[in-house]
Amino acid sequence: MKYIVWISRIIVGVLFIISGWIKLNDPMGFSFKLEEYFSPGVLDLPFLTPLALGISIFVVIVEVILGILLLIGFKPKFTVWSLLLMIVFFTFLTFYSAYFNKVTDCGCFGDAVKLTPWESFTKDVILLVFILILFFGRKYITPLFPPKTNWIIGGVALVACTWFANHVLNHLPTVDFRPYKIGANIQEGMSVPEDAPKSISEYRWKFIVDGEEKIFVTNGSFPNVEGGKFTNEVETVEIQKAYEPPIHDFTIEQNGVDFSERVLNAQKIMLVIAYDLKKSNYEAFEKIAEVAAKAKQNGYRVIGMSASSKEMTDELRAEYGLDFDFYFTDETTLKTIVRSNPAVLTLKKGTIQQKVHYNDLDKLTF
Amino acid sequence: MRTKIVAGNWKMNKNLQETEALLTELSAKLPDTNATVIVAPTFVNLQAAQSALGSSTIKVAAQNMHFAESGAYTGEISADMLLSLDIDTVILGHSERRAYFGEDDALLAKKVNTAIEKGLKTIFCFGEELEDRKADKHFDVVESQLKNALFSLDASAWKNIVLAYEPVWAIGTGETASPEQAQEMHAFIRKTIADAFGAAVADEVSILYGGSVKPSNAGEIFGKPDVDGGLIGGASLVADDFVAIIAAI
Repeated sequence: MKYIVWISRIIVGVLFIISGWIKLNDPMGFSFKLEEYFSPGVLDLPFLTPLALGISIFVVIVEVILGILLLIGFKPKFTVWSLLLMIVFFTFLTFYSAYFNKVTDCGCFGDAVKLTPWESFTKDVILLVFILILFFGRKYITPLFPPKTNWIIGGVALVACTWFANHVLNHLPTVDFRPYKIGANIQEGMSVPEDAPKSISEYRWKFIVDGEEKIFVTNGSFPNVEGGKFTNEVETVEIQKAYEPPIHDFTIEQNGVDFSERVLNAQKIMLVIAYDLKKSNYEAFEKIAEVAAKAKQNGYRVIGMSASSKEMTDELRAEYGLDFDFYFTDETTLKTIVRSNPAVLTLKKGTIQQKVHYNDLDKLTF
Repeated sequence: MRTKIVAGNWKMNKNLQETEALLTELSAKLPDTNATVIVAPTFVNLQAAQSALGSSTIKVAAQNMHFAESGAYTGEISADMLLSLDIDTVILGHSERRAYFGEDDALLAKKVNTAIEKGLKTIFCFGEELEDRKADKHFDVVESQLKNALFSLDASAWKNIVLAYEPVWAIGTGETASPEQAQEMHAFIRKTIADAFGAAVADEVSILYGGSVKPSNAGEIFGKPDVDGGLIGGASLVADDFVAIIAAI
């Protein structure tokens, strides 16, 4: 039992530290995932949405600290109880999400590792087994160091995690796991190989035949049903998913016209991104106006991208003297591109050259 | 074998110079395609469009016409006027004509009859509104639009009819129609025509999709078995986008 506990301790501890660190690197991203969980279609807890970022930071720091405490064997009763409560909650959540097909990716490993809902649930069940071993064998969890050293390690870890969370929130994630990282070419990220799997659906047409409801399944064509009356109900079920490229939702529109191609083919372009102007740091736009002017002087085309209304973007342009147009892009896409609101990117023929938080506008070079 | 068609409806966009410039660019960039490519500029630029296209395979269509042969209909254009410019295709029943100019099925039936009598190929637009879709009446609405406007025609007239299904609820509303929803309706439309005019007519009629087709979704939509092309709005005003959509068919 002692050795099984040791193995479980290492596996659970390391896994919690890794998954916690990945999310700690991008607490904003994890807060977006929590917002998805709190939305009406999932857990329906809208009052928690404004608290998502705070909860996100708290949860990921706790995750890392628990991993460290487990490895060093400090406060084993508290650690194992906390781990058990956490894993029971997350196992329920991932089961609910998988069974009702609510959230397509649990966000357990941020953007670094994507798991399907059932994969997430399986992972949590396996972790639950290891944590139960720890729970029942907690007497074998002995400290590696004297209590004073353990307190110091725990304290240092807490301070380090808090500093790191604060740093990435005020700049950008230290490691960018998303398809829009610096050096990535957006067109390449959008390309679909010719032999990639295509979506295949079956169509289930509902008819009334001899007073009874009957379903007729076709590959799209309208079924020939002698003496049947179509009920106006048809359900489409995807039986084979199409290949989805890493970037699949990048569009830039204005008045219904898609400008993506032109933006991605531009030799030098600067993008000012603000996914939701109601949540933007407005002070940053004074500096952005200066940066945009400098970019233009250096031959850059400058555009804004936001999911906010034209009225809001017009108001912003007038208030801060922003000499560039805003285009519409989906909010989720903008949140994926960059975690700061606002933020600035520079692109060369679709390749991301620079990407900065509004606190780091001075670092841009043209 | 049905004709594949990509038709760009320019609506009330592009002045004379812009029309010529866009068509020149479009002609130069036109990819090899088996599809018939059509553009529909505003009335005042139809002749200039014909000239600008020269020997290009791109065809020019009108966006509307009146049912009368001639007479006191200020601001209107007749079928003969279009024919005199060598325009042999006209779009009728577009959702904006229905919504903003009160064109109903009865009026459209007259227009279609005139167009067919005059030998014009007709791209007939129709489609349900959001409330129809929400009430699960979309199949009934579409069937009724088809019957009211087109079912008085002879089977032989259908060789000059192209249908363009526009789910009005999915145009500029933030709602999105999936390619599967397009296929469902296109299959239903073809079956409705087959029931009325026979399978041969139904199998030959091209049914275009007009619900915000873009370069990014054109391939998937055109891949559906009953979708024979698209009636393209905003994306047809940008040569690169329109070319990308043509290439996707």
